[in-house]
Amino acid sequence: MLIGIFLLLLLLGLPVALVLADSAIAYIFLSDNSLLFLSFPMQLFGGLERYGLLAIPLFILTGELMNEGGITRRLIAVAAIFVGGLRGGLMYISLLANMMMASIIGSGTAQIAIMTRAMVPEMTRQGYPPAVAAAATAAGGLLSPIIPPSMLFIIYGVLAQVPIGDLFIAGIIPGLMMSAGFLIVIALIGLRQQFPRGKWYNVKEAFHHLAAGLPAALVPLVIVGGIKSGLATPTESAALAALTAFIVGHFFYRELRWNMLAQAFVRAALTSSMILFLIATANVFGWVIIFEKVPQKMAEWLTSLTSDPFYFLLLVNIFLLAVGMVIDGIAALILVVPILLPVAQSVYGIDPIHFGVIVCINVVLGLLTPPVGVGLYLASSVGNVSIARLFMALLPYLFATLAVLLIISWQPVLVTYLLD
Amino acid sequence: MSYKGLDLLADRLVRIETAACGVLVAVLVALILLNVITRAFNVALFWVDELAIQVMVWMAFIGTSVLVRKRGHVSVRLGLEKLSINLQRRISVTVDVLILLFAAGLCVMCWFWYDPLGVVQHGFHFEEFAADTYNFIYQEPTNSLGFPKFWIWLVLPFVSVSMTIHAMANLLDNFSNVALAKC
Repeated sequence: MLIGIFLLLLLLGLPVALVLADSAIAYIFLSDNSLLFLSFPMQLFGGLERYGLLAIPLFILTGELMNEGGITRRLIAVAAIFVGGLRGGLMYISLLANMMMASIIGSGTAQIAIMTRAMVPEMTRQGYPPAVAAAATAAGGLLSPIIPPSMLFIIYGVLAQVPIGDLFIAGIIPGLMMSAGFLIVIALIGLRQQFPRGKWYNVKEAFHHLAAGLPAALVPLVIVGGIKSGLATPTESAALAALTAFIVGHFFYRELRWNMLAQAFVRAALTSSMILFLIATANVFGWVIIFEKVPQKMAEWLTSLTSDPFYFLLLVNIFLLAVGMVIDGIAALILVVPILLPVAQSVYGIDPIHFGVIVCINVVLGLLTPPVGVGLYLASSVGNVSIARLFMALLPYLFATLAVLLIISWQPVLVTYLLD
Repeated sequence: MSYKGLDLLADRLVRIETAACGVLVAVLVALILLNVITRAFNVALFWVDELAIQVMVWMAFIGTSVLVRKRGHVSVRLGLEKLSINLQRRISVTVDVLILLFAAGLCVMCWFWYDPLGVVQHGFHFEEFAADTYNFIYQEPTNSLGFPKFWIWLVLPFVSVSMTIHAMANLLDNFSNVALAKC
C-alpha cells in the first residue's frame, strides 16, 4: 500500500522530498497511528541535526566560489600543458580538467553543467563531432562524486553512520580507475576516428599557465590533507576549502568580488536546502517504513536468491542501475541506502564503506542514463545533440564505469586499501 | 485576500527568506572557522558545534520554503511531457494541491505540538502543562546553548505558514495560467 502511494506520487511529478513526506503522512493516516503526527515535526527536524551534514553547504559554497573565481578556465589551461598537443588533445584536456575539478567540486550535476559549457563549444569549433565532445566531457563529470570531496559520500556517511573522511579516502582508487577507463575509451575512439591535432604550449606559456593554476591546487590539498592528517574533520576541511577558494579567487585571480560573495552564499544556501530537505523527509519516511518492515522483507527475498556476497553485490548493481534510470543522484541514494545497507551488513557481512562506494558509483551512473538523467539532458542541450545520439556516444564510458564497478565488487581491497 | 495581494505577499516573503538564507550560510562558515581557530589555540568553545548545526537546519527549512515558491525542488519527470496538454495541466494542479496539503498539514501538526491554547490555559506554567498533556516540548533542553529547545524548533511553525502561503500563491498562479490559456 505504502509502496503504491509512493510510486503514484512519484510518477505525478511531485517533488521527491514531498513524495517521501506525503507517503509518510498517508501511511500514518491509513494505519490509524495518529499519535505519530505529534512527533512528525520533531522527526523532520531531527533528521538534519547531524554534524556531518554541515559539510554539504560548505562544499557547495567552495564549488560556487571556485567557479566564480575563474578556476575552470585556468585548470583547463593546466591540463593543456600535459596533453594539449596530442591528436585529440581536447578530449584528453577535457578528461584531465574533469579529474582536477572533481577534486574541488562534490556534485556530478554541477560539474557536468560547468564542464560541458566550458569545453563542448570549443571542441565542436575545432571540428570534434558534437556527440563525441559532449559524451567525453559529461562522462568526466561522473568522477566528481567519486574523487573527494563528494556530496554523495557525505550523505551516505550520514545515512550509514560511517566516517565521511574514510569514504573520501576510499573513493580515490576507484576514481582513478574510472579515469583510467575513460582514458582508454578516448584512446580507442581516437584509433577509429581521426581527431583534430592539438597544439603544445611553448615553454614560456606552459610555465605561465602552470603558475596560474597552482593556487587552485591548494583547495584539494586542504581537503585531503586536513582529513588524512587528522587536523580537521571533513566539515572543517570544507570550511577551510571555502576560505581558500575565496582567497585564491579574490587575491590571486582577482575575479571574485565582494558583491559576488553574497550571491554565492544565496545559491549555496538554496542548493543545499534542496538536498537537506530531502534528507529530512527521508528521515521521516525511514521512521515510518520501520513499521512496514520493508528491509526485513527485502532481506528475506534476497537471501532466498543467493548467500554469496559477490552475487549479492551483482544483484545490487543491477537493481541500482534500474533505479538510477528513473531517480537521480542524491534522491536515489536516500531511498535505497536505508533498505539495502542493513541487508548488506548483517546478512552478507559487507564492509559499509565498500558498499557505499559501490552504491555511489551506481547512483552517479543514473545521471547519464535515460529516460531520466539530469546530466544527459544538460549535456545534450549544451552540445546541441539529440539524447539518443549522445547516449550512443556515452555507452563506451558507461561500460567502462560498469567494468570498474564489477572489479571493485569482486575485490573490496581496491576500496579499502588506502584506509589501512 | 485578493489573488494579487497573495502573490505580492509571497514574493516579498521569498525576498526576505532568500536574504536570510544567505546570511545564515555566512554565519555557518564563520562558526566552523571559529571552531578551527579556537581549537588550534586550545581554547575550543563547546557550544559552537551545536549552534552551527542549528544554523544549518534553519537555513535548510527557510531555503525549502523559498524553493516551494520557485518550484526548485527535484522531481521525477518520466514521460509527463508525452501526455495531452489538458492532462498535464491537471497533473500540475494536483501536484500544487498536494504541496499545499503538506504545508497546511505541517501547520496543523505544529499547532498541536506547540499547543499555544493549552499553554495559555495553564497560565504559562510549563511544568503543569507537561504533567497534564504529556507534551514535553517545553521541557526539552539544548545540549550546550543554555536555552530551551522549543525556541529553535520555532523555525518549523514559521516555515509551515510561509510554505502554505507560497503553495497557495503557486496554485493560484497555476489556475490563472489555465484561465489565460482558455481565453
